[in-house]
Amino acid sequence: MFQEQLPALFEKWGKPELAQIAKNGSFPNRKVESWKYTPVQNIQISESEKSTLNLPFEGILLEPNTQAEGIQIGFEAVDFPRKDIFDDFANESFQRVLTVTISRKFKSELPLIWIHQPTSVSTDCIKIIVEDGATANFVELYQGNQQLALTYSNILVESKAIFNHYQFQFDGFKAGMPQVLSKIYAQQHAQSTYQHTIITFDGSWIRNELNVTHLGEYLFTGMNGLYVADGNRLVDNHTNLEHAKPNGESSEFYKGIAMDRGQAVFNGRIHVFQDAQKTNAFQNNQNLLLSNEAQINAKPQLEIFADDVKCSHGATVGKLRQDEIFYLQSRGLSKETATQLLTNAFGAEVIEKIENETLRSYCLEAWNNKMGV
Amino acid sequence: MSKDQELLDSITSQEYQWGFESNIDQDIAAIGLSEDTVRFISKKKNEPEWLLEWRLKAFEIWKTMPEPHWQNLDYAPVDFQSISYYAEPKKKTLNSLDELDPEIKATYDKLGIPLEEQKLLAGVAVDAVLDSVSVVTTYKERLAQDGIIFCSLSEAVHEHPELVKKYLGSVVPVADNYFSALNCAVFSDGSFVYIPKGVRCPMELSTYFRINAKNTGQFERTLIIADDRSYVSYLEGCTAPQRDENQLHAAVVELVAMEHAEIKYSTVQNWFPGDKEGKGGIYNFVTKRGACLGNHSKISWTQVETGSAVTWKYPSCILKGDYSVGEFYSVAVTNNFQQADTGTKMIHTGKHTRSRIVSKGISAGKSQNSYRGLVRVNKRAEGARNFSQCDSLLLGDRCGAHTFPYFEIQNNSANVEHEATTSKIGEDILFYFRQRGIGEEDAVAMIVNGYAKEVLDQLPMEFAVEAKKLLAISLEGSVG
Amino acid sequence: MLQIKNLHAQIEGKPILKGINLEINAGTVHAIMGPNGSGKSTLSSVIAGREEYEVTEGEIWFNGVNILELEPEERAREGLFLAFQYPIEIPGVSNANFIKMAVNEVRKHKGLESLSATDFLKLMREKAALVGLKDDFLKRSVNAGFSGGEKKRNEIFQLAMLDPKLSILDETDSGLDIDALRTVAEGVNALKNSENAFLVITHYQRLLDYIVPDVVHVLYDGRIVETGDKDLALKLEDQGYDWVIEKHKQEA
Repeated sequence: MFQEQLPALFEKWGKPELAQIAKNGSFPNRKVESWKYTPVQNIQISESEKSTLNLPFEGILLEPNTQAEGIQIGFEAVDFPRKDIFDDFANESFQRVLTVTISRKFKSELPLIWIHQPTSVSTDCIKIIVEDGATANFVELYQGNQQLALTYSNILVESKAIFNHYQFQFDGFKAGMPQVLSKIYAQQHAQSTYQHTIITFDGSWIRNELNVTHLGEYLFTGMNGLYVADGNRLVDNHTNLEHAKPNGESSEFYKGIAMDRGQAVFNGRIHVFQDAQKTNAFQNNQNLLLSNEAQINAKPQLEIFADDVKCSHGATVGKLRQDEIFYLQSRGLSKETATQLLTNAFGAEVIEKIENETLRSYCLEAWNNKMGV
Repeated sequence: MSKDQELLDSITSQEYQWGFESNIDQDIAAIGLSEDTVRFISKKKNEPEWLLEWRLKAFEIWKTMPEPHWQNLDYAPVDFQSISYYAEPKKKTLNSLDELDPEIKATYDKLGIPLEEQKLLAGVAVDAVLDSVSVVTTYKERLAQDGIIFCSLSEAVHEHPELVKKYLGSVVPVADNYFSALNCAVFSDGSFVYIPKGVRCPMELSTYFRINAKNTGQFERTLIIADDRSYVSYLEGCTAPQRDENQLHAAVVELVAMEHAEIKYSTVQNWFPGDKEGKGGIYNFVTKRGACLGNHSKISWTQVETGSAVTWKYPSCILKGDYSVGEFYSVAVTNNFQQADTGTKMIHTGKHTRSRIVSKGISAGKSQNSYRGLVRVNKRAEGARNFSQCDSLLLGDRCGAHTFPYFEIQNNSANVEHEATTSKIGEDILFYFRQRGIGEEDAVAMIVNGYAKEVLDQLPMEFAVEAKKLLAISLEGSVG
Repeated sequence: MLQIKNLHAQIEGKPILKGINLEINAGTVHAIMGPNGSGKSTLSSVIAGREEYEVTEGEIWFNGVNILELEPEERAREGLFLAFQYPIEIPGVSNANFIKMAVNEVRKHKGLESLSATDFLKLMREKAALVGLKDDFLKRSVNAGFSGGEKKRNEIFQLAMLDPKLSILDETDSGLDIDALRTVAEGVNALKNSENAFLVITHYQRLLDYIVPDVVHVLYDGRIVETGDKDLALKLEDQGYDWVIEKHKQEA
């Protein structure tokens, strides 16, 4: 079991302090409400070779020596909330964290890229400050073999800034069975936009946590996700939006597909504070369950303490619509092709929402390859 | 102070109307909980050995269980040693209604529950439970003509032991949860219903629960069995005196529906909710579950929850029979400092099973109102369908409305849909009423009743009228 | 019946009505026309008592009562009716129950007994027929899922049921096809008598072909700038509002 292996592995990798935590701490289990659908015991650890870096599109790679107009690189100590043992691992190893400050002077159309490419249990951390009025696209790519990547980001979107944050968990996974635990803590000031998009259709054990807190009014948070659990994959998406100020707006749109023996989880919490009057929050989660060995767990969650709000959520779990399949069949397509086409379209709806054309085409192409369309 | 605020504050002006205490001569068990308490209760009821053993086993299990804290509730812990687990009116074994303690009769008259048969609402048979024991069951003989058994559970233990033995704990197992385990150990009385094959129960059956004695907990237990092709509609009402301290109510209800049988279970829960400062009130920790064992069976829960300081309650359906149907219709109102965490579980295990959930939460004052519901479709539950609609209405800006739906779907032919909205009563809608000459209070009552209509429509007529009034009273003055 | 004297009103600090003077007598039909944004709907809202609008100056007298002191429901019970431009949908509350409550409130105010169920049903059927609404509409929820035309008919139905002294029709013609417009107008004409009065607020003249006004006012920038007979409406239909704007721009 992974839990028992860890202390020895950390020792071997020269991280005795982490070995100590692994030995004494306890791992979350199914009785912990937020880990109800995440089997930690399924994580598998071994070492692997570092793969070669692969930049699928042009961008600005974020590294200690990155140089670009409007970008300032620094190092800082960062603390993350400690809610589970993984947070302990992470915080112990974050003494000098890559800090990226994006100013208004940053005018490049190119996305900023952060690549996760660990060879064992790794802890990656970044801190990003998007200054007043700045705009940037930021992409996290996951590449590597058998490992567990713990990736933490701390994001501050200042007034009137626009920050598009993408996590692409599919390309470069093919060699092994990578595992990811990603945690994002984003904070937004007045009139800012934070748009997060996550697409997952590779890897073996994936859990993503997204936390967004509003610090000002009249801002927008977008959260879109496409997650596919095929093979034996677990994809577990947790989002937590803290509508702490009045006049905030949010829109959340997650689509999941589970097939083979996969398990797809969505847990989306929206918390509207007492003072957050005139909040407008929308959440929608749609799931396709395509095999009887697969499962879908969904837990949308609205916690509302203000009365003058518009909040709604919807969730569905089902299969493809028979009338749609029939329609395509009546036009001469085989049932298999029709199913493939419709499943592809189901997922593509999320990808189509990506505004940046380069990134959208990149995802669409990968998605079409995945679905054989 | 704004007008809105004034009206909001005047929510609290509506006092609990059922808060009187009756002066009835009672036998009350010594305070505290131990194996001896369990033996005392069992002995008091002259129970057979098997039942005592069952209770003792439950007590052993309960002692090892931790109190649950996953709910969205915040309350002072219950001191299980400061409660008396049994209270009964002294005079017992009635041969006719005339022998009933006049004080008890008067109590039920005050509640508007006449026990004398001639005064009964046409078509409603009543079992009245005061504190720990069933005091009277009406219309028994007439029901017996159809082979229907409707009596107190204590009576059934003696007269129909084979049925009780077979089904007691069959739907809610002893170790199911903390409060149900406690109930198994110390349950006092409750109703027992058996509807034989092919019989459609000719009248509504009803139990009226009343906590009267001080420092007592009420642990009633209801068991309803509907045999093949039978039908029964069962109503449950609850009230309690107004007291400063919290009182515990930990009931268990088990329903069993055989092939093509249908059980409709309606509750109007109006336990004392505590005063406007949040002092006192009932802790209502209830386990209600129905098993649709037979193919084409149906269980429908309807609840109107307006009372209790803290409510923890998830009337559920296990849809085991193929083509069985589970329904849950709920209106939960919380006001002042009330807290409710209520909803349902629909467990689909049979093929082509269907479930429907309609939940309408209404929060006012400083209350917290949560819907929590699970829809599970097991691997073999081919063709399962579920539709859930969970709406919340907020009256005032100091209250909370929360929705926690859970979906666990393992069969790819399942079709599950969930919708939820949260809103308040808009100024424009109130203005529309007022422009037609209808004052705010009446408008709110009408809007809330309209909002809850889909649920209220499920109640039998007499209950629906009662429930509408109750909703209006619970929310009087709650919107500006 | 209605006297408005030097009425000023604002919303969120922004002045909308800037000194309205208007007198309406029993047995008359007045029309208020005006370009978009001139304050027509504000005027009806202020008369009916919408709380978002703050009256900063002036008086509104209705049958000898200063109604600015009254709550909206008290104004309604006094006999003031507003047919909404956008009638509200009220899910779960049936038309029958809604109007029954309203009628009984008004009767109570007049010191009358509530109507018996049979009398009430008879009255409802009669009035529903007047505006061409079918029986099953009474059981449906108020305006929920109604077409635009049905909603407006329902407003006139409620008007007929409540038998008010003064009825304000706020853009009742908007969103109506010609047949519905005619039905609504016929309903109004049938209800007109020497004891009551109507104030028809509209942007277009076409409703006034069917409900013929005795007096026509033009509202511009929060003031009544022109008053005339029905020919004034025809002139507006013919020439638009430009000449009004041109003529009174200086004063604005």
